[in-house]
Amino acid sequence: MRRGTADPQGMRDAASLLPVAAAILLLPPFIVVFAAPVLIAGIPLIVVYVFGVWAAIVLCAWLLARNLATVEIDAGMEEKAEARSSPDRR
Amino acid sequence: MLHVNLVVIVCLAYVLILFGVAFAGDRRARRDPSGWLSSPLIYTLSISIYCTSWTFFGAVGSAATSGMEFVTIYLGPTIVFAGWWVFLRKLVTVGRVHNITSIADLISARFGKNPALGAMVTLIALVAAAPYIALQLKALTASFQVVTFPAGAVVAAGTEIEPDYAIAFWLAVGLCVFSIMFGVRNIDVNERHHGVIAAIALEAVVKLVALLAVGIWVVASLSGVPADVFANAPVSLLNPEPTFGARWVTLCFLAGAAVICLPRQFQVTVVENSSERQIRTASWLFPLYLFLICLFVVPIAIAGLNRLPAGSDPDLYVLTLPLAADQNALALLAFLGGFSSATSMVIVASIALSTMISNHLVMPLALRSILPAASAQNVRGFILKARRASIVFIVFLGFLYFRLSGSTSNALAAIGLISFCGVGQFLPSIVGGLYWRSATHGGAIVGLAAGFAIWAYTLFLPSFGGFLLMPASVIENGPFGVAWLKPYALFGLDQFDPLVHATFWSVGINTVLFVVVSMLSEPTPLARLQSTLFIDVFRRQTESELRVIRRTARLADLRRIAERVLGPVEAVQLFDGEARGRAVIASDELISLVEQRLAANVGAASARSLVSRVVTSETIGVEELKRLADETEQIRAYSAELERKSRQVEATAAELAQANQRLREVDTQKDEFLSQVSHEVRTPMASIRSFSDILLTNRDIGEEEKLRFLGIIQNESLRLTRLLDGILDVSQMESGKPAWEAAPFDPDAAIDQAIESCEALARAAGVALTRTRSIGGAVVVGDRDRFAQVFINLVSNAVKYNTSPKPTVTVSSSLRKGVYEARVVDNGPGVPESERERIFSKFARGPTLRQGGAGLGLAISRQIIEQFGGQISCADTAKPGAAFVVRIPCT
Repeated sequence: MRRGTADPQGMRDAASLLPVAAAILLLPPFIVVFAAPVLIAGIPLIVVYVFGVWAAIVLCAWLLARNLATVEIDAGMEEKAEARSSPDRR
Repeated sequence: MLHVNLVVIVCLAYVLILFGVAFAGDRRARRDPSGWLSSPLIYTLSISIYCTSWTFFGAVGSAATSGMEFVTIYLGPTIVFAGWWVFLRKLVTVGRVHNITSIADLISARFGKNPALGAMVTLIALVAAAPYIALQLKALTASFQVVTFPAGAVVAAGTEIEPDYAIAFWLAVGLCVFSIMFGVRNIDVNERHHGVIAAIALEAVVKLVALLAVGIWVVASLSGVPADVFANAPVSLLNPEPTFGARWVTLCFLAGAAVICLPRQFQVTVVENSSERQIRTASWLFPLYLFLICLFVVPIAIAGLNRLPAGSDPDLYVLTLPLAADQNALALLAFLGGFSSATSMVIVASIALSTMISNHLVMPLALRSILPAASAQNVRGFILKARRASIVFIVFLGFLYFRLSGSTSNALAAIGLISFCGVGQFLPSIVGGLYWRSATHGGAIVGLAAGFAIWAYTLFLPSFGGFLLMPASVIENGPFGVAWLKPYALFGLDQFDPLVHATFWSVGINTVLFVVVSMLSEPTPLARLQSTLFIDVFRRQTESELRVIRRTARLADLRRIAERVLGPVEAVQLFDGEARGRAVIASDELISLVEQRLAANVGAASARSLVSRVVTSETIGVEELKRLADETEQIRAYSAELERKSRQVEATAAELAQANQRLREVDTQKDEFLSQVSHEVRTPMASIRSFSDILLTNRDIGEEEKLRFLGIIQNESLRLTRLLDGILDVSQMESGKPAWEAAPFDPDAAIDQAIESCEALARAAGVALTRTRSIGGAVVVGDRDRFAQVFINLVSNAVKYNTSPKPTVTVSSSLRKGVYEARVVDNGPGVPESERERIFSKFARGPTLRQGGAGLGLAISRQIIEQFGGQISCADTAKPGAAFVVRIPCT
């Protein structure tokens, strides 16, 4: 199931950016913004925020892993195709 | 409470199941190494040994006391795994490609297979692991004591129970048995332990299910409305701002470092990895596992705070909550979850550390003393025994720490963080080693040593609370009362808590020293090669790196070593191809292959010292190394090569142009020659033709006249013949094939002969011919007649061109320093300076022509003398006249 939208370089860049984004979101000073004494539906804001970001990271990582897999499978198939088109006949 | 017997029986049954799984896993993996046991799911579950009893019990405890702080321990690894593309992928690939057996192996292999570095990393890891293993024993013991406390768990949790060291001891024994049975059954290639991995994957599921079950029960028993769950939440959750300071950042950093640097995490993440697919799946599945484990931690903590009497141990809420509500089955499941998380950690940690101890501490020592004399079976047996003994040693080191620090009632999280900070010291060396080419082993050693020393001083030793090495007074006031050396406030830095303080100083100074010493020191050639192999692990490197190290070893020696460590079966496979070739000297490829296989068993440093024993000569090609070093270097080398080639092409083109020029000159010469020859031939031919015409048409010519004409015809044809003979001679000699035989002769005699044949000519021309001679005795090798011909030419020229009223020609000869020199001197008009070279070319004649000549005499003479290896030239003279000098080396 090849996904036509998977741009290999874009995926790799995204994979490199994900940990940076995660670190910015989960470390001070940014996280302090959500450290206010506020409840959302009875749950402290910080709990909702941390677990929400965490779930988002897992989701992004899953999407990236899927796309990187197809990128690499495509690359592998291209290599095989190349190998087939130039068989080494002695 | 739960009955002691029930708990023991359930535990034993559970352990039996684990044994069964490990056994089945081992068998299955042997039949099908790439089966589902190598699947990304099992791989990820095995990584979750990161969640030990610290997580299972301690996370709730931490949440109850410090609010959200507990998640940092899981956010750090989440960031590292979600960012696998940046770092983890490279680390895992290096581990897989280079058959790395442990974190000590990685660091020592990267810095030139340095044995000292491997030993040092092992020692640090060992010391840092002790608190961690103690933590597991403490949690296991405490949880067992609480669930079986006769007065009920709630009372137990509220009272200070002295840890029962007998329980801890027997637990330790059981853990040793399991680890030895499944972790050290054989010295496996790549150190993969499928059976153990299968068992800990099961344990990972059990602990997740247990914690989720307790969490769901807690939430459900409170009607499941979030507002109820979070009612009466502690202040640290409702107003969490103070949580996010330096400690939050430090904890995230340490947790992220620990998930790579802890020996057991390195074991399951890097060593047990068999494909990139595994790490790709783990990049999201492991964060998901951590997310799920943490999901109910806060509700359980709040419920514990609300429902259990004040003063209950928050580390045991997971157990005491179900027990307080008489949910015995759930409590038993929770106990099993804690049991799983603790045992799996101890098992994998002890296996990983035992590999490190045997490869980096025992082997280097044994290689010096015992092993050289040991037989094949003994070496393998020795390694196995060393690993088994190491496991016992490690587990009981943890037990010892527990025993020593047991009375200081530290929370689980605090103990674990001491370990985290200890193994965090490896991070600068690993990151630097994988990305920085100039990192040297000196930098790694100095950085690690300093970091370890500071960690021990500021965190590890004070954790004993004054019972070991460091008395309480030192912790309080600094050594000898020196305040700026206080372990918890080094250099007066006292506004941070001990962990942040210790991390700042140890990791900071470690990194600074690593960088500075690396920049000041020079890596060894082998370290340079290793750094290239590690840093450029994704670049396709084929046979090029093999050519860098050139070694020679006798095949028999190499085979003996392989047999002793790898066992006879693998050695036969390895040497199969070579043995048939009947080679005596092992090839570079084979030596590298053997070293690789050995490294997969005993680590790179030990493998290298094993192979070095039989290698007779080793050179590391600096040029090849440089070329391998980096891509810029390669491109530079390539362009230099191009430049060299283009210069070569230019030079060739210039040569060709020159040759072309010469060919043109020769062509013109040839044309000139031909026109001269035809001109020379035409003159006598013309006179022959005209005179023969006269004779044919005029029948009435007088007899006397006829004879005169015939005489002219004969003379002209003789001249023609001489001319043609001369041309033949010249062309023959120019083609370099002298048609004469070489024999020794006296040159003076040859000259005398030449003078004799010229005497008639001289007399006719009225020239006085004199001959002066030296003592003689010279011997020249060559054709005597040709030699004489030269002098006939010279003398007859001198006679012919002499216009003096009293013409004289003098021929003299001498022998000086092995050179025979003859001079033909006349008192004629001489040869102008500008003509002296030209007269030796073909058809060149003197400026004034008295008697016709072909103009070949001097050209032929020069050819002849050059064949003799000598020179002929027209010399300067003080008196008027010409002087021709011939010089020939004598034999």
